[in-house]
Amino acid sequence: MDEEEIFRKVQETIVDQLAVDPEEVHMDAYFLQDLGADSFYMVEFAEAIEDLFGIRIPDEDLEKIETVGDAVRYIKDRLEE
Amino acid sequence: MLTQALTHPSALPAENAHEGWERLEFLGDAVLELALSEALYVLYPDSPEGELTQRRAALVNQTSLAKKAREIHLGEKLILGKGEEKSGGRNKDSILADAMEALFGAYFLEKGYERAKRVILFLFQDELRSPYLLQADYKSILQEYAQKYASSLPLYQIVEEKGLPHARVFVVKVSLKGHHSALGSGTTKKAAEQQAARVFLLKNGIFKDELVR
Repeated sequence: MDEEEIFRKVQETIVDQLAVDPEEVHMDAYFLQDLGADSFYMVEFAEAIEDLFGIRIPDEDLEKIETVGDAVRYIKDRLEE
Repeated sequence: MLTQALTHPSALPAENAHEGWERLEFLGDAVLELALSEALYVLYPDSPEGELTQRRAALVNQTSLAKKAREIHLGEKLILGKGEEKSGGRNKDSILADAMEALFGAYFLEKGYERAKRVILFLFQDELRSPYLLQADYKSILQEYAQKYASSLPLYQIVEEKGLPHARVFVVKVSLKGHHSALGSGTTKKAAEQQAARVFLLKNGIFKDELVR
């Protein structure tokens, strides 16, 4: 799966969950500051991503995901493992 | 449900006060304690019950919950009565901590225990994994230990006061029958006693070395 494809899926997930406009969800968008997410949301996001991509995101990794781009690159790396 | 978790009883007429967050706070407290107790039990397989209790108390208390509440900007979302609003309730530790518990209670009812547990463990991950007892009250730990396992209580004595008047250093000795005494120093009597209790716990093997700063 290439980065673009992962991004589309991540974007769709975030748009569904947070009810934001797709154009707000770009690679440089910060979850907390730009998308209005909080720790409660980040866990829901992680669980959706885990189901979608069949990976498990440990809490210490989740904590490091600050932007949409961070999430996309993290998923890509994990899928390539 | 979320609205209820954010509504302080003072914002409601007396006969409807039960529709505020207090009942959810009661539930949230239990969810929080269960999730963190389980995590501590797994993370510290060699720790005795007293230390686990102390660790949990360092995680679930007014100060730490208020800190978490501030991290998620909970204060600005609260619905308070006029009195509380005027007296700065939005930024009061006691109110923020209660609301945080209520929020966990509401979240648990809505999303189930597993999801609530993951949020709690995510929020507290740094504190949980810290090898040190955060804000540990070593004097209390030693006091509890003595009540349980010793025939007398620990005795704290100032053995030395040094330094200039504005930069005093106190040295305190703590002793307990049948145990090695320990010394601790600090810029206040209280700090020196805490330090002495900490050294005592280490020296007498009540705590493992790497656990206590």
